[in-house]
Amino acid sequence: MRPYQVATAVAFMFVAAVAMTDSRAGALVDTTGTQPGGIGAGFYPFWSAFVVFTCAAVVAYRSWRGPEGAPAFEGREGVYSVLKLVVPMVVATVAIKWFGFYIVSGLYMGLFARWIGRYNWLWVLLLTVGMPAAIYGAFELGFRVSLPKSFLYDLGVLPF
Amino acid sequence: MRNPVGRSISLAIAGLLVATACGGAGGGATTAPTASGGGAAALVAPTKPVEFVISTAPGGGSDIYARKMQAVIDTLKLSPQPVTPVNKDGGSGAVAFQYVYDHKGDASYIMITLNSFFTTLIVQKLPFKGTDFTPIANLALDPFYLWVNEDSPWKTAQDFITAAKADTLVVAGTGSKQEDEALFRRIQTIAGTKPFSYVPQSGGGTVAAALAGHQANVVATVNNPSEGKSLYGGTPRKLRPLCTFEPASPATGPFAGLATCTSQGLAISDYYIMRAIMAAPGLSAGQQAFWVDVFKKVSDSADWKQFVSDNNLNPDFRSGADFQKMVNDYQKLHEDIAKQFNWVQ
Amino acid sequence: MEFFNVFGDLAGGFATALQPFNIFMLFVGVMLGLVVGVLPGLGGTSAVAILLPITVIIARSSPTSAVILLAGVYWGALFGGVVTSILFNIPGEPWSVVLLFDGFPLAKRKGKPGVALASSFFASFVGAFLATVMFTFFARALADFALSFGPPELFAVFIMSFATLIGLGAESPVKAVMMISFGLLLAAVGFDGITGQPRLTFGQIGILSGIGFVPVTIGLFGIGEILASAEESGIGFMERLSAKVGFDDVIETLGELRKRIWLVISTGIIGFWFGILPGHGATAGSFLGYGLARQWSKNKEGFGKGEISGIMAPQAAADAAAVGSLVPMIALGVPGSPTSAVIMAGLFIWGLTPGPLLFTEHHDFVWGLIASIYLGHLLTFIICLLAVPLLASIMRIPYAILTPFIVLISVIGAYSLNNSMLDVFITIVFGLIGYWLRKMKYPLAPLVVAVVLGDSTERTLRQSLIASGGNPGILVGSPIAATLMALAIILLLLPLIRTIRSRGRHTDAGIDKDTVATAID
Repeated sequence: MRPYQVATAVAFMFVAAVAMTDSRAGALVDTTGTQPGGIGAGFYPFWSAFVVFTCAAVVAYRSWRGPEGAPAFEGREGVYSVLKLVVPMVVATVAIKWFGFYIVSGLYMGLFARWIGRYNWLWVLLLTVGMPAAIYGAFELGFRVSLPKSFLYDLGVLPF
Repeated sequence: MRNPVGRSISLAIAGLLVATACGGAGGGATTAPTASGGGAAALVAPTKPVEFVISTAPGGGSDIYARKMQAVIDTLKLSPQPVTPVNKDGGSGAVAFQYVYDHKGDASYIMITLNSFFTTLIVQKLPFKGTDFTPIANLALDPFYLWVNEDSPWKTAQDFITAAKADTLVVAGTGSKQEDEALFRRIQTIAGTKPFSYVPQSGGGTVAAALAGHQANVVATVNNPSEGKSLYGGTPRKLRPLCTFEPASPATGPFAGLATCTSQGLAISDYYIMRAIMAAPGLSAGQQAFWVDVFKKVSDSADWKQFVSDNNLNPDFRSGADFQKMVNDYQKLHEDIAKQFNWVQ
Repeated sequence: MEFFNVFGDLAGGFATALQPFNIFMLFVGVMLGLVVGVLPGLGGTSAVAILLPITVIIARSSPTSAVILLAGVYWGALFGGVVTSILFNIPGEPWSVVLLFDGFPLAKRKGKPGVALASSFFASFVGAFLATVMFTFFARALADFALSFGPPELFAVFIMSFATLIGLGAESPVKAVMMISFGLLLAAVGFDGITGQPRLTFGQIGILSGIGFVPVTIGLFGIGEILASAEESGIGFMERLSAKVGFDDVIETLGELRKRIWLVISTGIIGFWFGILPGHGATAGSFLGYGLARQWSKNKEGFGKGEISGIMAPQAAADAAAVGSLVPMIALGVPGSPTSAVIMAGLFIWGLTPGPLLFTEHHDFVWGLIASIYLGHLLTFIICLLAVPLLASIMRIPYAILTPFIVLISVIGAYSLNNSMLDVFITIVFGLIGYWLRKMKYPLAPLVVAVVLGDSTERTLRQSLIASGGNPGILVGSPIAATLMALAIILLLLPLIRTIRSRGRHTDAGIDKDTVATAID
């Protein structure tokens, strides 16, 4: 647990440092009268970031000096379970840019039904087609809400 | 399970739609297109569903106007493709501009614009210019009035100016470095008052409420008539307009006979919010002509005319060179203000 | 005199609202509202906006029918919006964010989705009923008083909300303070409305709209929870639900409501008042409702783990606030919430001017609407209670279908808010962050509170300072602001005093200083 705790806190320190650098111009109360109300755009983010930085430093120090604690991961099983969810999720999200929401969501549902659920192919097919079709009906037709379309839509081949 | 409910409503509505379109739409729909925009180019209609991009949140000023236009387009069946309003608020319009800009040459992207089309493009560092977009038309001009609380001792613009020369006054308006602030800064320059403490609010309604409720010492606003009307109309009356920044007094409506600011010694009579339509960059002359034609018909419809008079707008349809000139004038005016008050970072 | 006129007016209103066509419109509105409320990304605001073109046609013959339809959608969406919060940990509306803290834990960890849903429906109904009664009798007087709530008063209200939530879910005060500040930092990202400058956008135009709290909370809670439970129980595990899902849950909840009736009534009144305040009153109201319920409760430890008061209090406040948000719209022409802003846009489009004149010029319209608020809530409430067993059984859908489905609706919810893929990426990134922070034992609730309320808090503070020329005295300058600020400070100090007393001499001075620092932020 300890190295992860320290690393997390240090990551927060890094983010806060970037934010402080970016908004340093407005860090002080303005007395020249150029900023409305005496507080510039950067004041609020700078001091929020400052508190994050300070607290993160305290957390980092305490975890570093503190006990090792329980292990961060409970065996490989847990890590694999998480990765099995994360990888398809990230791949699917990125793929939406080219393949649109409907094709990706069908494949994503199908993948889970077959891979995790071990359903027979009929069910897999049903979910692959049925889920996007239901969403298309509700959103595009029912409420006229447009979700991302595939490159085939731009080419005029498919309606989604 | 619930879909049939929705289906039957939309069917019923479709029926209603047809009935109304047949019944009352004759006048607007048959008006001949004017020669403007693309000149004699044949009209080229969009081939995909149209997104009507709105740079404010639902319920905001230009949102109402855009939805009204969309309703007219829908009722009169002016577009072969469905037109759907899409809200893209953020960055005082920058997010909407970027979105439409990214659909170069696509006639399915149009947007409603107001003066943030100038201010935002001048003040913020954006990778495109106003001239990149395809101009369609201006439909109306929304006037500004100078408002005070009903219990204010000031009766004319001159009283207000005298007070503003003596003290730093707190005034409110929509947004920062946009039309309301631009107008107050112009007043400041022309009348030589002390710099106003300008409190930016999130929308016209909250601006009017701030004035009516004496919130945070706010003593004046430059709301549009439609924004101030609610709090002017009731009993007891809460707000009072001192004058209008138009060249002439309104002739009809609740504000008929309101003095012009010019007549009270505050010589600004050329400033409005435009309610105009721009389209994605790089449309062909035919595509441009299609939209000019659609909005000409919107502007001529009885429904829109009623809406315009209900909300004290000045009908002002311009397209082509006429619209271009207006855009250029406003561009210059806002650039000057921005330069004078160091708005550009 | 005027008081008795109200009964006559209301009777007239019911006569209008009970006309067959208006009843039909109300039913259609409520059903549509329930559907869009349950669907992710389509809250009441977008649903009402989507329906506007249709209402234009209806309004030609009867504006009252049109507004009844839209108001029906509003109530339906309010009830429906909590369903995804409770079942999937995905908030539908700003004010259902707070339901993530206890609604989902009760539904999942304690395996009582039926009780969780019924709790929220009961509280909604009681809160809304109270609010509607107050609306009926005091609308115009209250609206006038609400006008005097300017930036300094609102700032005090936000500070009060923060004050009741200090120490929420915090094992380590330092981490809680850090999360609040991190939330405030996230809320600051984007276009600064006061100066018109971009902040922390690093030149990206898409980020000018800011990091919305919806994608952030969907990520932190919805996605983060899926990942965390996959690690605990392994992928493909089945939820353990209470054996029977039926109307017993509803009966059980009724008993729970009786125990908490005064809590629900008082948070309902607070919520109604917050709804009247223009801006984000409803959200602040729901958080304050939650915070007060927690402070008043003897079972503080239970909060965040599925405490029923933690569902009922904020929900009563939120629904009462939604009713309240119509008050300034009708009485002043100033919208009290995003959804009422769109309904108000509808009024403009139909050719009506919202504001005091409505009461005199469109008498039937106003009272028809008021009567339909009573009827609409009753209708929604009955439909929702009947649907509880059906909704609760959603959690029995097998993992291999439910999990990817939740991911998909998270994506839709994040995307359709602004039609922005950037928001989808933010959701996924915060999903990973949420998973990791849970693991590292950082409290997420303070982060979410700060992201939701941060923007408004900063804006009202800076607006106040502009008005006073930089003098912070304005924050306690008016009697209302001073009273509210004093209340906020008392609320802030109460738990501190309690902690110091209970810890006695072992108090860690450093920790308490951190907690105090939160208030200053």
